Amino acid sequence: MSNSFLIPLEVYGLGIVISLGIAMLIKFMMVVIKKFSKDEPEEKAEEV
Amino acid sequence: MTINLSHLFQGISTLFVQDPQTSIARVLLILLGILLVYLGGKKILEPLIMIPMGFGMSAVNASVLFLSASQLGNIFIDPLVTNTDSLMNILQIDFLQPVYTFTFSNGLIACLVFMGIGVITDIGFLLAYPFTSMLIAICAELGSVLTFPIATALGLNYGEAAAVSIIGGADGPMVLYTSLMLAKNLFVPITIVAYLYLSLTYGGYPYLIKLLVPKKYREHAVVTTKTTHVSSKQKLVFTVVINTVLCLLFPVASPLFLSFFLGIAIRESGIQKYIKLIEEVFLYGATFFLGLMLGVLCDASTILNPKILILLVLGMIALLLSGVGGILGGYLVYYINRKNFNPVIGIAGVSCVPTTAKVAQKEISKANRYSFIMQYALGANICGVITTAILTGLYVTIVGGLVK
Repeated sequence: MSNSFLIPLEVYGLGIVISLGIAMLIKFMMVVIKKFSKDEPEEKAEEV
Repeated sequence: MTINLSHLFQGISTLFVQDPQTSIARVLLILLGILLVYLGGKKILEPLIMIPMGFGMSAVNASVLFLSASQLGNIFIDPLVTNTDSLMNILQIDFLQPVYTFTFSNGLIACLVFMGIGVITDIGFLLAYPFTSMLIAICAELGSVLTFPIATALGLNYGEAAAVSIIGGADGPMVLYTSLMLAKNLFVPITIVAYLYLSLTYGGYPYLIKLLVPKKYREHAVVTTKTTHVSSKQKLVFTVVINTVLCLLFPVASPLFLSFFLGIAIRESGIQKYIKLIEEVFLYGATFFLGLMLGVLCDASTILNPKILILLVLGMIALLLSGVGGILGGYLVYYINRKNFNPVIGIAGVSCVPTTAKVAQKEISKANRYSFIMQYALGANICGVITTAILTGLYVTIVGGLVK
């Protein structure tokens, strides 16, 4: 397959992995921050 | 004493000295500049960009003069000068050359706009709905990906194809940055095409929504079971961590990441003096000079570039595909969430902050005036900025490596 197709495939594939990785990182960070911040009680954020 | 009128009114006399094609292009660009100012003034196109751009475009094409007996030009700017000695001379003559050399050609202006966008962006919605927002934003990058093979098939090289594909991300500074990195020879027409089309999204996307989303879906209300609140502390921690991670992954796009997340961090830390400085001075100052500079760079040689027509077509394809992708993403979330979602929100994944989010809310409100979805739309909108930055980083790294 030529680079004309391989480059966008590679870009999109890696883009999806990194973006979803960031979404997971956000979820993880929200849990950790919530656990360690006792002075600021927050309501749980919930996905629709 | 006799007055030589051709030397007195050089803007007019040069029209008769140049080849007819260039002269006609100059006249058309003068008229186009005036039209852009008018459309900007009427708020049909984005006035913040279009008014300075239209002024620059009409002025630069009107004010061509004899620089020497055989050389025509203007005293605005010379974007092609690279030799250090020539640059030092030009800096003292062309009045906009300092702005171009020190802010435009190195991408600083894109970073300043990005910092400003960061300061006005509330990432609370993104942190509240990270997966939903990210999924929509990924789908809305369809144009940034599918345009690439079309562009190469139409004869553009990989760098040019990547730069024009990023128009699908609908983020002006990102297009400017990518084209500066990968297609310096075409960065002026690519950026102009991008900003022209981005100005049209507010008017064009509603038709796409009506075409792809039937009324029964458009009027669908999203039921939120709990209120969501994200503290400034959480947002601050997120920005510093995510900025570090993205800079580690893509050092080549780190100026953009730093600018955007620093803007958000300043907003969340509440430093009012910095917020005011970045929002009122940096953002509006950079936007003004961006528009003016784009206009001034739009001389006749730009429109006579044979690639301009291809860029116009590709820019439209990129934004159209991204819009379609975003709405498909909206449908995907609609079914994942067991129909508790409005597919129109998908258009907000196209990261034209906050225009596409406003378009989504406007179209949904028309169908159901009690449906308020702005928080979801803004989450997708901000994720769109992040995914476009990621794709920019990937294109610059992968294609930049191939070009070298």
